[in-house]
Amino acid sequence: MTRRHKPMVQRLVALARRIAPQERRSWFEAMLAEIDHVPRAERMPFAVGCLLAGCRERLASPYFLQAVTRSLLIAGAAFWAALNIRFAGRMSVSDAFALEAYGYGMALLFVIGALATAYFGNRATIGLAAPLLAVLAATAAFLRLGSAPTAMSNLYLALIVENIAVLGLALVVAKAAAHFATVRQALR
Amino acid sequence: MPRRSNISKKTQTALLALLERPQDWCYGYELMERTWIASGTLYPMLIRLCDQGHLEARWVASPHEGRPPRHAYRLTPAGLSLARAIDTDDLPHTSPGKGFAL
Repeated sequence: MTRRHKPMVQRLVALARRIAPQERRSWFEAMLAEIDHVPRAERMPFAVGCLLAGCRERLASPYFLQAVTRSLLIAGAAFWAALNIRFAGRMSVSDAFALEAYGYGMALLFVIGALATAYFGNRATIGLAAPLLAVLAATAAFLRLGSAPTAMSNLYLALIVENIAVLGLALVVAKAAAHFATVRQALR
Repeated sequence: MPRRSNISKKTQTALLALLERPQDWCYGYELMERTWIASGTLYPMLIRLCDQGHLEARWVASPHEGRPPRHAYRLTPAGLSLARAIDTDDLPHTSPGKGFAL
């Protein structure tokens, strides 16, 4: 029993060390060393506590927050690009060339955004989404105020507003992540 | 009205435990025994205190042969000031039997 128990607790603390962010590893080395000095009966709860501490440190790490938001933004952009491609495909069936081109164009922009975010991080989202948002907002304003409303212009307006909402959300997520990462970094 | 400290009760308990023998290096498990704070709470707390400059840590060779060195902790001058400023009347009495995980 004891022979099996000891490696188990050590494995748990070693797992905690692996879960913990790189800059905290030495603390988990300390916990691993401490295990030998904890009475046998208390080793398992001690190790479970270390595992929870590892998870807690991982969640509190600004790098983890950045990685999670980066993955979220990439997945979101890819999903939105896929929906735009689906929309463009449907428009090609009804010979609406301009709408088809708009769909593929937006899909391309979101794919570029996803790739840029993957390579350069959340700041790429902010750098790309902000100007695109401004261009789309100006176009929407022109469609709404600069021309007489028609069924087609209303459709374009709806599509643009949809993209503005998605880009705005991405921008808020990226900015909030950058802000929280800065605050957490300052607190460490 | 006196300004309330924004550090948690458990952190205050740990600081007071370290203040009992401010010159001595204290081990993680020893602190757990003295404060009844579980490892899952104590270690993140020690990490924060170290980050904030209230605690210093070092590796100490074990007096028992064949055992690995241990990580030991001691209050810094800033930590001593912080611990001395704690109002002990506010603190709950520590009691055993809370478990050692959280």
